[in-house]
Amino acid sequence: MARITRMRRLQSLQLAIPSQCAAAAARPSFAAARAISTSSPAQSKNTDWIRGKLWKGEAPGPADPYTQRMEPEAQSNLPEEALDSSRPGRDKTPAAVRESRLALPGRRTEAAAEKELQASDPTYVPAADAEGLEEVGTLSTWWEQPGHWGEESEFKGFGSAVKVVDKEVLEVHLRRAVVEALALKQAGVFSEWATKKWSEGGELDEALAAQVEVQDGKATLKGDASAIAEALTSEVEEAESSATGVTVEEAREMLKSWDSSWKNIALDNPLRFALRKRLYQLTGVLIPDAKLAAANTIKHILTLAARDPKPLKLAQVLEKRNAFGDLANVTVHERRVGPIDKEVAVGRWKVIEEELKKRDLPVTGYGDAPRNKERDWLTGKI
Amino acid sequence: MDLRTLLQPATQLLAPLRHLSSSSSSSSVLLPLIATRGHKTTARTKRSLKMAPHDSFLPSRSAAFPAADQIIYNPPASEASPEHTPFLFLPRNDPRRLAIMRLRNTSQLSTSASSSAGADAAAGDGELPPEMRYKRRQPKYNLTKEHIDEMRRLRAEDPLTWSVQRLARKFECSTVFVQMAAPAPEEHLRWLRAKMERKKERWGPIRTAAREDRKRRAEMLYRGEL
Amino acid sequence: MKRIRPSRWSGQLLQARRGAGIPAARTPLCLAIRCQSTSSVPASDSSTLDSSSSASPPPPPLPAPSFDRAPQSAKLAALHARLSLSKKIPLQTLARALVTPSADANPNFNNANLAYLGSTIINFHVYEYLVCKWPRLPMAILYEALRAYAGDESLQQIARRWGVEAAAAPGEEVDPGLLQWKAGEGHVVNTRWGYIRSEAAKGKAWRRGLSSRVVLDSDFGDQVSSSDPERLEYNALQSEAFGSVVQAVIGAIYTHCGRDEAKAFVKSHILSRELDPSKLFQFKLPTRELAMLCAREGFEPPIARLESETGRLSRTPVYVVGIYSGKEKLGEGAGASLDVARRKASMASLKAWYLYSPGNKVRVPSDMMEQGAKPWTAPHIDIGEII
Repeated sequence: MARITRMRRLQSLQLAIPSQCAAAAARPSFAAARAISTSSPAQSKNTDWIRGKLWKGEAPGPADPYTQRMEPEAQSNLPEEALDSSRPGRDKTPAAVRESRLALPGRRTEAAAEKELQASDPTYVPAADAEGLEEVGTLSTWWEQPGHWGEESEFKGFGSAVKVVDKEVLEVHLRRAVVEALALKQAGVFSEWATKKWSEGGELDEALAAQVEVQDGKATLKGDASAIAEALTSEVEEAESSATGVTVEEAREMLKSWDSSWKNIALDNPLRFALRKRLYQLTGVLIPDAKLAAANTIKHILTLAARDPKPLKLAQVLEKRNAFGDLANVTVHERRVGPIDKEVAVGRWKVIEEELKKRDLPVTGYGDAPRNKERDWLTGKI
Repeated sequence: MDLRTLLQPATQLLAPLRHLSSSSSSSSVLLPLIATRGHKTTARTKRSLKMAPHDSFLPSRSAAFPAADQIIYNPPASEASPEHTPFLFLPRNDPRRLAIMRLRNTSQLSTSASSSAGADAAAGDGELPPEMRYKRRQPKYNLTKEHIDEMRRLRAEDPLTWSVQRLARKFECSTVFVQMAAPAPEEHLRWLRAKMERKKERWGPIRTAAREDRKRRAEMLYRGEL
Repeated sequence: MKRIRPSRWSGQLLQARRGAGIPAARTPLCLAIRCQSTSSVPASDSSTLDSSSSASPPPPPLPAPSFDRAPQSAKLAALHARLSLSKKIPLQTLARALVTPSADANPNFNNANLAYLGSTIINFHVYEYLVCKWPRLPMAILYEALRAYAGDESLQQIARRWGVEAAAAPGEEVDPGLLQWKAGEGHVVNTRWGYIRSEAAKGKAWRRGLSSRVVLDSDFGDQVSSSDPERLEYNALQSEAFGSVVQAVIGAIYTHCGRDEAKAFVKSHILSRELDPSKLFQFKLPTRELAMLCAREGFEPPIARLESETGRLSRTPVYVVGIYSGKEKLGEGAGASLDVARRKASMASLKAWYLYSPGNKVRVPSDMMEQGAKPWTAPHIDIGEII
């Protein structure tokens, strides 16, 4: 009883899954296999004699009670195609693997046995050696083989890989995002494009040339709004090199030419998220969700996005100041001075190396010797 | 302290009384009426050991207090340093020699002015500490060539009878001179050495060690470590 | 080269025998060309070297760090500053002073020459100071006093106080600020100069008197061995290596800055050390020696007088004995027995004789080399030891 109800639930769940995932599977599914009764008709004949003993004359009920119960399941009210699509077995590979762009190793297939081949092809002669066979590497070397992992396989994030740290440059990019959002709004496609990826290669100068007029927090765009919107919504894939071509000095010049009224534009939720997304795309600066809700104007967004540059480390400060340049008795090392460096400086390392080589011991590291197992015991790793 | 001074007359008063009682009873037990305290506590011991410093450590009180500043120089007793060259060893042109001579002349003048000349001459030798008695070289030059020949003859004749000591006594010279002038024949020396060896063999470990220690001590002494 | 051998004067008068007076352990100057420092190799050689070495395998590593790396070494700069050396002395010279012949046998790159120069300067200044300060020191004591000031052990102490550290094993990659030396191989000692005695070559036992030591032996009165250098202990080799640094630094100062600077350096680093020469004496027969001294000098014979005593009948008596010559007291000593006290007193008198000093501020002959020096007054010169 319980088994049947579970089966139905399974079936309905399977229907909810998009058809493509189930279609790939060619194996008979679990549900389909269980639909057939395990007890064969021959078995039911064997039970007839006991039915005859139990009942006088015609026995009530079906001869095989288990098969009988399956009947309501067979009578589904679903359309035929749906049932068909659900019938074939489900592929157990995860969806991420199935949808991956990567060239994954194929499934294991078995070659036909020798007898079968001889049956189908009488001219078949079994090979005596491996001559002429294609060489495929082992699975462990899959990613080293050409064509399996290249430039295109590496992950490219949505946000800009180069993070903008200067406040002025960030402000220029924010201005661009605002202009673009306003342009989309004026073009009337903002609600459609708010959740899509905007083209990254839009002309920066074009966007920045547009004038923003603000009145009571409402902004209007003066300039070629439609061209900007066109550039954003176009699907053209171009080089991304022109994305961040603003130096700090240029940004300062630009900021001087604008009045600060554009920073007072009031934000509503779609605009807020659109700006955040665009800013992330252009500059790589992601404003946390928790803070974003507090931003009511552009100025707030700018405050949230701009961070003070990281303070320099002491070593960097000293290097910048050239603190030890004219001190002859101080040596500044590029990297940490390790035990080997110290031994080299006093000349003992060559002796150590020679002695280790003489004894066939590894010069650095442990060689073939396993790591210290006792330490793992002590630290509870085993 | 005050209490003790107060009690002093009282004890003196009681002394004849005590004498009386001792004579009358003629017992050996003498019970002093005022017991002198023993140093039974730390405080008493410290008090009794407290001694006034020697006068050389104190500033002189001949003048009134603020009259004169004074340097107290009282070094501990120590060996004289060899850095101080004695007057006799100073070369002729050394300024220290001239200074000492000048000093001596003035002091001599002052002493001679104060005392008579005869007393000065008598005091010269008397001020020096007494001479020590030890064996020292007193050359007599009393021996002639014949004496030495005789000495050699005797020694060669019978070195056992005419030992170094005896020859020295006979010719009134030192043993070292006898050893130099009339050395014993080689076989006699060998015999003496063998005798000494035999003697040494009989020494026990204690005596041997003592002899070695003595030798080592002499070396240390000559190195200035003792 | 003429040798003075008084024992032979009776026979062949001042006739030098061939091979008798070989300067000890003179290393032949090997002029191997090596591209260690760019300055030392002439340009013509470098071109031929380049053409020949282009095909050959990489050269073996240098036995000591290259002088090109000297300006980069912090240790070297620190040492230079610590010794407050003049700017005229380059760091490369200081680096060379730290390379001993045991690490790099090439005399063009090791400190042997500088060390020899320095040792002569040190010994000269120490000797003149000792002779002027204590003019009556016996020769044996003078040798030991020189060794106490300028011997290898003392120089090693000075080098260690300067902060000179030794490299564990010399080599090209080692910091040039570390002393490059290694023990073990029998290397030639070419800072000792003297004559090899012909008696030593014959291998006979001979009497080595002090007079012959003055003439034939090295500065410290040590016998210079023949062609086979003696095997030194590890400690001796180490102190020699460290001592050569001090000598080489002084040699470098003399080379770059001149005589006066070198003298000032010797005075402040070597002569400023304290030495108590009264500790160096060991007597054999002090009473007899004192008697002979008095006889030689025409004093009255010394007489021991008991100045004071305490506890004669106790277990620990103390006698204070003074030695008098006439009325003059020569010295005094205290001892647990009359004999010991007397001997100590005579030793004290002898030390008082030997350690006569004209004063603490003695003028030495090299003072006359300064500009505007006062006219020279002859120091006290003693007639010699008591024989």
